[in-house]
Amino acid sequence: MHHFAEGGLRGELADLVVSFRERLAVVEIDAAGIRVFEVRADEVGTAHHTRRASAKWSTLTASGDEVFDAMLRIARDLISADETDPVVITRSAGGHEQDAAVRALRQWRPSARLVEVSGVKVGELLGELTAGAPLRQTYDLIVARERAEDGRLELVGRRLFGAGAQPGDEAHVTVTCTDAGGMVLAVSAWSGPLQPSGLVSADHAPLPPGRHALRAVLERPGLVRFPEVPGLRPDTRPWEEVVATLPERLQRASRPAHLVCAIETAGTREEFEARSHWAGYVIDLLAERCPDLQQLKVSVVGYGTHVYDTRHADRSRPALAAWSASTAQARAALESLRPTTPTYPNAAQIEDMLAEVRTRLLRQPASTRTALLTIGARPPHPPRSGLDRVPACPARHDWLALLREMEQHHGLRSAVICDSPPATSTSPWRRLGSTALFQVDAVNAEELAVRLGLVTEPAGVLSLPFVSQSEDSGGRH
Amino acid sequence: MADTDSAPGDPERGREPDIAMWGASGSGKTAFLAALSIALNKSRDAGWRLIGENAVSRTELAKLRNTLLQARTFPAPTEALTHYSWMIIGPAETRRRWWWPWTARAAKAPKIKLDFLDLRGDLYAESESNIDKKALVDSLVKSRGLIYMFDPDREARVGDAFKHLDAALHEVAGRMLVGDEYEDGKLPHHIAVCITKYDDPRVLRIAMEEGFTERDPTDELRIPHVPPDRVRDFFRLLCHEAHDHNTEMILDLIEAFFHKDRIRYFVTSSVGLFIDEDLGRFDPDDYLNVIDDAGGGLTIRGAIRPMNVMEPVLWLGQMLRPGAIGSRRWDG
Amino acid sequence: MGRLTAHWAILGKTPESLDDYSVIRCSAGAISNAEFGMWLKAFTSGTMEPKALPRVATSYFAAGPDGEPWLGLSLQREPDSQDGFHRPYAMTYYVCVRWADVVAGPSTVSYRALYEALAEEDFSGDAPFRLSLATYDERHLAGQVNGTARRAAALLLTGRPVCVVRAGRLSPDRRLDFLDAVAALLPYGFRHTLAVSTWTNSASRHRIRLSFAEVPPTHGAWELPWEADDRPASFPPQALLYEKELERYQGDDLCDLVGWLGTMVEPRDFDDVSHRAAASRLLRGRASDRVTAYGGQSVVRQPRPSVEQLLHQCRESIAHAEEQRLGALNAQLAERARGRVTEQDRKTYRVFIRANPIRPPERLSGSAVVRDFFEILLRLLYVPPMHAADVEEMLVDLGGQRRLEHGLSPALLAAMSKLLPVSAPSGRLLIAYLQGSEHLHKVLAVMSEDELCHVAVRSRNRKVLEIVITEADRRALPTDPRGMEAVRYALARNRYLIEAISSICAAEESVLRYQDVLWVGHRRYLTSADIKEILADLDSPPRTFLLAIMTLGAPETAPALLHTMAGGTMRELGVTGTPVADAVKAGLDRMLSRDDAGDGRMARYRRRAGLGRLAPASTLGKALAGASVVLVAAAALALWLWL
Repeated sequence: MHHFAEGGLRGELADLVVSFRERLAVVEIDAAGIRVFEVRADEVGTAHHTRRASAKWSTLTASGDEVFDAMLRIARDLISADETDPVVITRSAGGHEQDAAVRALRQWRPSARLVEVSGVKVGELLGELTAGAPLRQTYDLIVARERAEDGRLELVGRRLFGAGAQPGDEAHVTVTCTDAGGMVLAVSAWSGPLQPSGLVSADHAPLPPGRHALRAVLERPGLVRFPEVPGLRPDTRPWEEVVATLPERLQRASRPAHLVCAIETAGTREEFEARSHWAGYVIDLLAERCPDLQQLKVSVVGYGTHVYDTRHADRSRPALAAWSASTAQARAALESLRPTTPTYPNAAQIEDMLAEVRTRLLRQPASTRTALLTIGARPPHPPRSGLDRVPACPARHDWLALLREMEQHHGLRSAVICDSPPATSTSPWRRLGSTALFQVDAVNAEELAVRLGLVTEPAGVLSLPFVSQSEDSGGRH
Repeated sequence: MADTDSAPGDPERGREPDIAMWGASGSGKTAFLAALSIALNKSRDAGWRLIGENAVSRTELAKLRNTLLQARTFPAPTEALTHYSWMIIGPAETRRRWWWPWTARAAKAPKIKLDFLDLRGDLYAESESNIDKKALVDSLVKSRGLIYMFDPDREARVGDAFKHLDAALHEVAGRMLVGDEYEDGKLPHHIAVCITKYDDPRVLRIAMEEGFTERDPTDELRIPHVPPDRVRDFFRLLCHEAHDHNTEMILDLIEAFFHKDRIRYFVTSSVGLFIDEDLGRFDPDDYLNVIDDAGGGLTIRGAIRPMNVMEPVLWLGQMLRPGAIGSRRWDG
Repeated sequence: MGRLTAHWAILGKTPESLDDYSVIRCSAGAISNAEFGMWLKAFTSGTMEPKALPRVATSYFAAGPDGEPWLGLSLQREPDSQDGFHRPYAMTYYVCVRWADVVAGPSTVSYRALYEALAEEDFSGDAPFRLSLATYDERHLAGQVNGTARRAAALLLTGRPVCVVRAGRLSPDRRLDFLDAVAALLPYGFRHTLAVSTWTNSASRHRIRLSFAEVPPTHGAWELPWEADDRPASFPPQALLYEKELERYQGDDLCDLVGWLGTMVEPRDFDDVSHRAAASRLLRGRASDRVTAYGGQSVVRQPRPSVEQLLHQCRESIAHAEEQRLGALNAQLAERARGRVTEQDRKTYRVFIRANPIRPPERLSGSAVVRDFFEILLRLLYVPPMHAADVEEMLVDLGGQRRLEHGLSPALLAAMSKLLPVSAPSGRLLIAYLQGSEHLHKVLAVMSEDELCHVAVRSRNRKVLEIVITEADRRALPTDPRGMEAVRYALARNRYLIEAISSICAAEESVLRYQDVLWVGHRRYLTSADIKEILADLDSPPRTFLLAIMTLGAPETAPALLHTMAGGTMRELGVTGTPVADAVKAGLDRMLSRDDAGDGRMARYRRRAGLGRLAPASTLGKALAGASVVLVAAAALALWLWL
C-alpha cells in the first residue's frame, strides 16, 4: 500500500496517461462514495478522461447489496479485465465501505494500484494531465505537391509535430498560398509511418497568395494554433468535400519560359530524324499555344557519343545550336543538326550536355520556368565506371548531381523521349524523365508540354497550401 | 611441304605440345596466347621475343597479334583443336670468364619451346569417343606443363568450371596414374592456375574491396595488383562467389591431383587496365580497357598492357627446361 | 532437275548465349541432334576468320546401325549478333543426303547444285527438305578446270590432303567451283570420302582433304600454290601421270571425260590404296579406248574391258538400237556373269546401272537380244534366287525411283519374272503390280487389312504405300460398315502408317498422304470423338499428321483438338498433374470461352431452327458456325506452333 502526496499521484498518473494503450481506469474512493474515471485516446491520439460512474455508499447499498458485491458489479461493468489496461485506486478515507470497495476492486483486478491520498480531486487532475500530455501520434500539415511523374497534384503531409511533442512546442513550415481566397490549414494525425488516423483540425486562413512561413504551436494534444495567422476560423466542410474541390494541376501564372531541347545525333538518319521531328513538333506546339512569344525561349543542343579509341580522352563538347532563342531561330537551329555515327554503343554525352546547359543557365533570370527535353537512345555516362562496363565520362561529369542542381536552382523540369523503353527500373532515363517519359514512337506532345509546365490549362482553385517539388524534402501520401 | 605421309583423319601431327591450355569456352585462352607476344615485347626485361616455329604458327601468331593490336578486339571463339608451335627467345646474356673477368663475351640466348594446344572450351565435356577429345586427352597426358584458365566472370554467370576440370582431370589421371610410373599418385605436370580477366570490373572490384590488392611502389602507373602470396586466397574467394556450389572445390581438386610445389597461381589480364595517358596513372573511376563497340562486339580501348601473361609461361618454361634459362631472373 | 530428301541442321549459338557451339535446330528422323553435332564438329574447317566467310564445306559420315553413308554440305556465315561474351560467332547451315539417293537419281549431284539447293531453304520446322537439285552440269564443271585443278586431282590420288594457297583473293563462289571441278576430275565415287572446304585454318586439326588456306598445315599435306606452274620438288610420279593424262582432254573431250567420270559412282575411299591405284590407271585405259573408237592409231590394246565398260557399251548400243553389237557384247557380258562375281562387284554394277538407266527404244521392245541382255544383266546384278529385299532394290536399280511404271520395258519384265521371288509380301505386291492389275487384285484379295497396313509400314516403299492406300480406299466403302471398321482398326493398329509416310514423303506430301489415310478410315470430317480416339493412341504424332487432322476437322471440333493436343503434349513432357497442367487447362478454357459464347449463340440458333425442323439452315447460321470454327482453329494452330 502506497501513501502518496498529490505530487506522487500526479507523477504516477502522468506516466500512465502517456503510456496506457487502450484505456486507463482511475477509481476515486473517499468518505462519501466512489467515482470511476476512464481515460481513452480518440482516433487522432488525443487522451480524454470521462467520469463513468459516481455513487455514494448509500446508493450502492440501496438495493440491499453489500458494498463489496455492488462494487464488484460496477467494476465488471466499467473496468476492463485486460491486464494491459492499468487501474489506479485512490483512497482518501478509511472505513468499512472503503475497505470492501478496495477488496472488490482487487478481486476484479488484482494488479490495481492503490494510492492513499488526501485532498486530491482526481477529475481535475486527469483534466490537467491529458491536456499537458505529449502527443501520442504525429501531426502533419496537409499540403499539395506536384507529382514527379506527371505534375498532377497530390496531397502529402509536412511534419509539424512528431509523436512525443510537448504542448507548447513550435514548428515552422513554409508553404505557398496559390489562391487569393486563402487556404485551408488542415492538420492530420498519423498513428504510424504509413497510417493516417484522422484529421485533427481544419481551419481557413485568409492569407494572400505567395509564400508564407507559418509558425504552428501545439496548444495541447488535439489543438494546433497558428498564432501569426489572423482571422483563422474553422472550416466546417467535410474533408472529402475539401479534397473534391482540388484541381488536377496547378494553374500557373504567366512567367518567362525556357525550353532546352537536347537531341542525340548519334544513330541512323531515320533514328535522328524521328528525334528531330519531336523536338520540332514540341517547339511548334509551344509557339502555337504561347500567348506571348516574347516570354518563350528555346535552346537546341545536339550531343553525340564519346570517342574511346583515341589515345587521349575525348573532351569534345556538345554542339550548342541555339541558346535562349526564339522559336523560329530554334527551328532553324534544329535543321542545322546532322546525324553522327555512334562511336560508342551503350551511352552518350548526356552528362556533358547537362554540364553545358547548367553553365548557361547560371546567367538566366530566376523566375523563368525552365524545362529540359532530352531526346535520344543512349543513357548518360556515369561519373565512374561500374559493373555494367560503361566507361566513365572523360570529364567526370555527374549527370545526376547536375540534374539535381538545376532542379533546385532553376526549378528545372526534365522530360525524356527515348528511342526504346528503358531497360531497367534503375535506368538513368527514369530519373531524367521524372516529369515525363515517352518513347519516340508514342509521344503525346500535348501532355508533354503540359507536364513540362510550358503550357497552362484552365484549372480549379487550390485551396490547400502548396509546396513545390524542389523544396519538398519528402512527405507522406 | 612436309615429308611425312599422313591422312587427314589422323590428327596426330608430329610431337605433342609441351604446354596445354585448359579452360572453359570464353575464358580467354586464345586471347591469352595473343597477348603473350605483346607481353614479351613490353616486358621490362627487354629482348624477349615470341616467334613461330613454322609457317602455320607464324601466320597464326601474326593474326593473333593483329587481332589485339590492329583490330583492337578479341579472337573469335576457337572451333577446332588448334596447335601453335612457338618459341620464346630471350636476350643473350653477357658472361665473364671466372678466370678472366675483365672482358665479357656473349652467351647463348635462352630459348623456350612452347607448343600450345588451344581448343574449344566445351571439348572437355564431350565423350571420349570424340576424336578431338581423344587427341586432347592424349596431349594432356604427354604434356608436362598446363595453363589452367579460370574465368571469374564466366563462373559468376555460368559456373561450369568444376564440371569441365573434374571430367578432364579424372580422364588424364585414369590414363596416367593406373600404372606404376607415378608412385606418389599425383600427376607429374606443372600447372599455372591463371585467374583471367583481372581487368573486368567484377573481378577487380572484388580484389580491391576485399583488400587483396597492393600497390607496387616502383610502378609509376600505380596499378593495384594482387601480391603472389595472396593469389591462392583470392582464387578461393572467387570460387566462393561463383554461380555453382561445386566451384568451391576447384582449388581442392587441383591440389589433390598435382604436387603442391608444382602449382602456381597467377592473376592475369590479357589486355590490362586502362590508363588515361593524360593522367598517367591508374584511376579507380576509369579503368575499363574493354568496352562495347558500336557493332555490339568488344573493343580494346587503350594500350594493351598484359598482366601476368608471360610470367606463367616463363615459369613453366623454367620448370620444364631448367637449363634453358638457368638462374636468370625472369619474373621481374 | 532432280529432287532429293535431305536432312539438315544448324550449328551455332543463339544471340547472347553463354553456351558453346551446339546444334540449335535440326530435322527430325534419320539423324539425331547428337549425331549432327558430332559430325559437324568433326568436320570443322577450323576457327572462323572474317575472310573465310561465307565458307562452304563438304563432309561425309556413316549413320545408323548399318553404317549408311551420307554426304553433307555446310554453309557457314557470320550473323550480326554476338554471343554472351560479346564475341562474334559463325552459324553453320548443313544439309546431308543419303549417298544411295545421290547415286540413284537420274543425275549425280555437284557440290554447287547442293549448295544452291541449300541456299534456297529456310531451315525452319523439323521436316526434312525436298531439295530441288540442278542436273550434273559437265560443261560448267569442265569450264572451271585449270592447271591447279588438274594437279589437285592428281595429288589427291596420293592419299594426302591438298591445300591450295595464294588464292585468298578468289571469291568463295569461285573457290567452291574449283573444289567441285577437282572432284569432277576424279571418279564420282570418291566424293563418298571427300571433305572439301573453301577455307581452312591450318593451325587447327581438321579432316578436310582439299581446301584453300593461307598456309598449308605443317605436316602431311600438299601445298599447292594457285595457278603456279612449277611442280613441287617431290611430285610423285603417279600423280604426274594422272595430271598429264588429264591435260590431254580439252573442250568437248573434257566435257565427255567429266561426264564419264560422273557415272563412276561406286563408292571409293581415298584411304584405300587399291581404289587410288585403280583410279590412277583409269584414264590410261580410257584414252586408248577413245583412240581406238575414233579409228586412230593405237599401240596399246586393252586386253579385256571392265564390266562397267561393257555395260556402258551395251547401254550405248541399246540406245542406238545396234542389236548386232549388243549381241556381241551380250556374249562377253554373259561370260563375265558366269565367272566369279563378288557381292562387292554386284553392288558396284548395280550402282552403275542406277546411275545409267537403260531404256530400250520403242523399236526394240520385242527384241530377243534385249531380253537376253536383261537376263544376263539380272544374273550379273543379283544372286539367283533373289532375296525378297532385293525386289525393291531391283526396281530402284532398274526403274529409277519415281518412274517405276514407265521405266521397265517389256523385255526387262519378262526377264524379271523369271527371277522374282514370291515370298515377301511387299515383293509380291510389287511384282503383281508390275504384272498388271489382274495379278495385283489376286494378291490383294488374300491379304487382310492388317497385313496390308503392316506391309506398307515395313516396306517404306512409295509404290507399296500407294497400292495399300488405294486398296484400303477400295475396301472401306461407306456402304460396308464392317469393311470400314476393319480398315479403320487396321490403320489405327499400324499408327496410321506414320512410320512409312514420314520416312518416304516430305512435309507437303506427308500431309496429303495422312489426309488420304484419315479419309479412308473415317469417310467424313473428323468429329471430336474421332480426333480424341486417333490422338489417344499416338504419342508424339508428327506435325504433318496434326495438320492433316486440321484439314479434316468437322465444325466445332477445335476445342477437342486443342485439348487433346495439349493433353498429349503434357503427357509426353510429364507435366500432367503439375501446376503447369492446371495453368494450361485454365488457359485453354479461357481461350475457348469466347468461342463458347459464339457456340452458344449458334446453339441457340440451332435450337430455334430445330423447332421448324424443315427450315433450311440460314446462311447467317452457317457463316456464324464457320467463323467460330476458324477462330478456334486459329487458336489451336497458335498453341500448336507455340508448343
